[in-house]
Amino acid sequence: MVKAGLGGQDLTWRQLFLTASLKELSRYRPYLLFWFAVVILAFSFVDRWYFGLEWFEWVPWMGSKSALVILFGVVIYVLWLRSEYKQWSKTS
Amino acid sequence: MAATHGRRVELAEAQLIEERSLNPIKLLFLFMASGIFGLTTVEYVKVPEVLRLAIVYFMPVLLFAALVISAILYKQAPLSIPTFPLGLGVFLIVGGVGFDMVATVLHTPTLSGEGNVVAVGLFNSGTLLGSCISMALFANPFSQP
Repeated sequence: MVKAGLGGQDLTWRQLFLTASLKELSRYRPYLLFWFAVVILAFSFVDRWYFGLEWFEWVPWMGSKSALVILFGVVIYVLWLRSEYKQWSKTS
Repeated sequence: MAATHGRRVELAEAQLIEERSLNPIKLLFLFMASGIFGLTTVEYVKVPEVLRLAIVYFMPVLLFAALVISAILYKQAPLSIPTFPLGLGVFLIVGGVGFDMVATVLHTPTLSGEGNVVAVGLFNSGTLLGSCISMALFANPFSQP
């Protein structure tokens, strides 16, 4: 399910995280990969909220933690996909 | 048996066509990748000033094309996007950009401390402050990655 969510349901784990050729790259499902990219993009914007809050000195400056936030977003995305999949499995 | 085999062949052919064709999603993904590549080039690679400016001015064009394709895809979708992810996405992207821009303009109206590569590129080319802010309102969400 994680592989499917990342758009690589037809790929092995090695091919998914270490795509070695254009042929392997073409086997990605663009629709799913696109949504995964949107999740990364959306959570990278948490930084903007943080920078805005920091401008008003409502939060202390701790440096950008965008990598951690994006990782958190990816985990949320996978959990959400899992719950949707479970719900779909029950109804179908 | 023959019918099942025929159906499988049809499905395989359809999948192959889908993989090889340049559908809107692939196009959108290509635009996103081009935007990231362009911004990375502007920020980290030493390129001639003319090329740097060309990339900076090309970003809104890329964004506009991506928005048009997104709108087409949104209209074509057979199901509506679930409220929670859609709301969260809008809150993070539109809210984050808006809040940061308002805070920045309130604290430095001349944008003197701006570090955004696109904004710096525009300033260096002599673009007026109002034009920079207008462009930022339009293109800022795309310039984040």
